[in-house]
Amino acid sequence: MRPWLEVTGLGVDFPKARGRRALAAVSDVDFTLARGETLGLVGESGSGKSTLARALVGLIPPTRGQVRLDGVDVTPGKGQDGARGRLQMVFQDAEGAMNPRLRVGAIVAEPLRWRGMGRSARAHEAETLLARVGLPRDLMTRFPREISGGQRQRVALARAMATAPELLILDEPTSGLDVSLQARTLNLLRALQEGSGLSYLLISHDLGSVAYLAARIAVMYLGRLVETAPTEALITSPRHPYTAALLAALPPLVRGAHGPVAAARPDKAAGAGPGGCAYQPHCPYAQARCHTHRPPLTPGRPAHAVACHYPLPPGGPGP
Amino acid sequence: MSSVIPLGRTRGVFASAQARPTLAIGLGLGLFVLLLVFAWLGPIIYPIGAQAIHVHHILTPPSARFPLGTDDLGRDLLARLMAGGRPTLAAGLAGTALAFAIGVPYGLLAALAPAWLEGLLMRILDALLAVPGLVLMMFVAALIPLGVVSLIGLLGLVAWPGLARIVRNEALAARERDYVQAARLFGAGPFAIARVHLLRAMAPMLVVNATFLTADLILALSGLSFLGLGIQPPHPSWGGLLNTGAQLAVIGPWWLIVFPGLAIFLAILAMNLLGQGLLARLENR
Repeated sequence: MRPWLEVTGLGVDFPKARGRRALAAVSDVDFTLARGETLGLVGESGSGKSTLARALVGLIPPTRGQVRLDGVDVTPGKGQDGARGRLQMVFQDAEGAMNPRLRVGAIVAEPLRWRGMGRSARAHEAETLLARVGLPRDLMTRFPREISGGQRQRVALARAMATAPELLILDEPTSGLDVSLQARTLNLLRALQEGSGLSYLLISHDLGSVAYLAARIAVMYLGRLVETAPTEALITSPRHPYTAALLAALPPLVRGAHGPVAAARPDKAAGAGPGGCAYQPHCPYAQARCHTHRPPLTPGRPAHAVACHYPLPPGGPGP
Repeated sequence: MSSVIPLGRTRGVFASAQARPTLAIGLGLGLFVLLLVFAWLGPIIYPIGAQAIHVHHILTPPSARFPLGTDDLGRDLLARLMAGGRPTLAAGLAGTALAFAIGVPYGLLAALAPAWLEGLLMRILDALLAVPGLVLMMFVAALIPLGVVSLIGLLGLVAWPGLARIVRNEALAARERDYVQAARLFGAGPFAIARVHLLRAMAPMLVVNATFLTADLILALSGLSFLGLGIQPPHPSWGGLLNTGAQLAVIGPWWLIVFPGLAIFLAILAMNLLGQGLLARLENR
C-alpha cells in the first residue's frame, strides 16, 4: 500500500555569502506518514527540525527531494503548490506569528480571509474555531498581547485548523509553557485528532512530550535522520548511539539514574570530514569506517531504520 | 529629503520631548492647531484686508490699531501673517500628502517586486536621491514662476524618494516576521500582505515621518519664498514676509522680521515636538 505522505531525499541548502560552499541545513530526509498518524521529530536545537518543517510547507523552497501526498507530487516550489491548505503549520513562537495590531478574531480567521470568505462569515467561523480549542468568544476582541501564553498557543492552533488541513506541522507546540499547560496542550492535540483523520508532524526537542503523542519517532542530527522507529521500540531499544545519548540525557525521574553523558556539540561535529558519519566525533563506538563513510538510513527490523554502521544491539544500549 | 528618518534614530534636538512624550505631543498638536486656526479663522475676528494699503501708516510699529505694525506699503502685518500662513501651512501638509501618495506605494512595490524590477526601482531612487532637493527646487522655481499648487507638487516630488526608501527598508524588515510568513502560508498574495500586515507594521513610523516631513516642507517653502522663488508677491507667505523685513532691516522695522520669523519658528517647533513625542512614545512600547 502506498503511504499517504511520502517524503524522499528532501534537502535544503542555505547559500553562503560570496559564492562559498552552500550550507546543507537538511539532507536526504526520507519518511512516510499515514493518515491520522502522529510522527514525532526530535533533535537538538540547530539540527534542522524547523527548517525541515518550513521546507515541507514551502516557506523555504527545498533544494532537493520530493514530497508526495496521495501519490501526487506536491513538492513546494515546483509549479503550483498542490498541497496549499492541506499541509498547515503552527509556528514555534506563537506571539511572533501573530500581527500585534490585529485582534484575536481577525487573527484566527485570517486564512479564511485569503480564501475570500466574507467578514461576517469569518467572525462566525472564528468563534467556532476558538470553541474547538476551548477558548471563550470574548477573546475575539483582544489583542495578542492581552492574552496569556497558553491562550496564544491555542489561538495559533485554531488558526492553523481554519483551512481544515490534513497534516498539521507543530513546531515545538509546548515550548515556553509550564508543565501543566504542556499537558493540557498535548491533551488538546490528542482530542482534536480523535476521529478526524488529522495527521501531526510533532517537532520538539523534548522526547517526553513527543513520546506521549507520537506513534513513531524520527531522530534528527545535524540535518539528517539518524533513526526512525515506533515510539516504544525507540525508547526501549534505541539503535543509534545518538538516540541512546538523547534518552540517557532525560531527567532521572523519567529514565532512571544514569552516569554523565557526553553532550553532542554540533560545532565540533560540523568539523568532521564530508565523507564520514556526522555523529562520529562524539560516538563512543566510532571505528575507522565511521570517519570515511557516511552510513545511510537503513531499514532494519520492521519499521525501525537506523543510520549507523555499528548500531547498538536490539534490547538496550550497549556497554 | 535627507531629514526623513526611520524610527529608532533621534534628531538630538528636543531631548526633553523624548523624556515627556505626552506633554510634547500635546504641546506640538495644540500649537499646530492654534496656527491653523490663526491662518484660517483669524480673518473672521480680524477682518482687515491683507492687501489693503494704509497710505498714512507706512512702517508704523505695533500699536492699538495695527497690533503687529505695518510694512513699507502700509499694509497690516497681522492680516498679512494670517493670509501668508494659509499657503505656507497648506503647502507643508499637502506636499507631505503627495510625498506619501507616491513614496509609500513605490517603497512597498520595491520591497515586493521580483529582483530585476526591485533593482530598477532602487536605481531610479538612488538617482533621484543624488539630486540635492533644495537646489533642484530653486532651479525649477527660477525657470518657471510657480503658483501655490505647482509649488506643492514640487515639494512632494522632491520629498518622496527619501520616504520611498524608508518604506522599502521597513517593508523588507517586516516581511521576515513570522506572522507575515504565516500569512504566506495561509495563501495571502503579496499585495494583501502589504495592505494587511506591512502597512500596519510601519504605521507608527509613517506617522512620525509625516510630522517631520511637514516641518521640513514648511521650512523649504519658506526658504524658497524668502529667496523670492516661492510664493510670489503681492501674495503673502511667511517666507516672503520675512524677505521684506530682511530688506528693510537696515532702516530698523524690527516687527517685520520678528513676527514672520516667529510664525515659521512656531510651526517648525510644533511639528518637531509632535514628531519627537510620537517617536518617544512608540520607542517605549
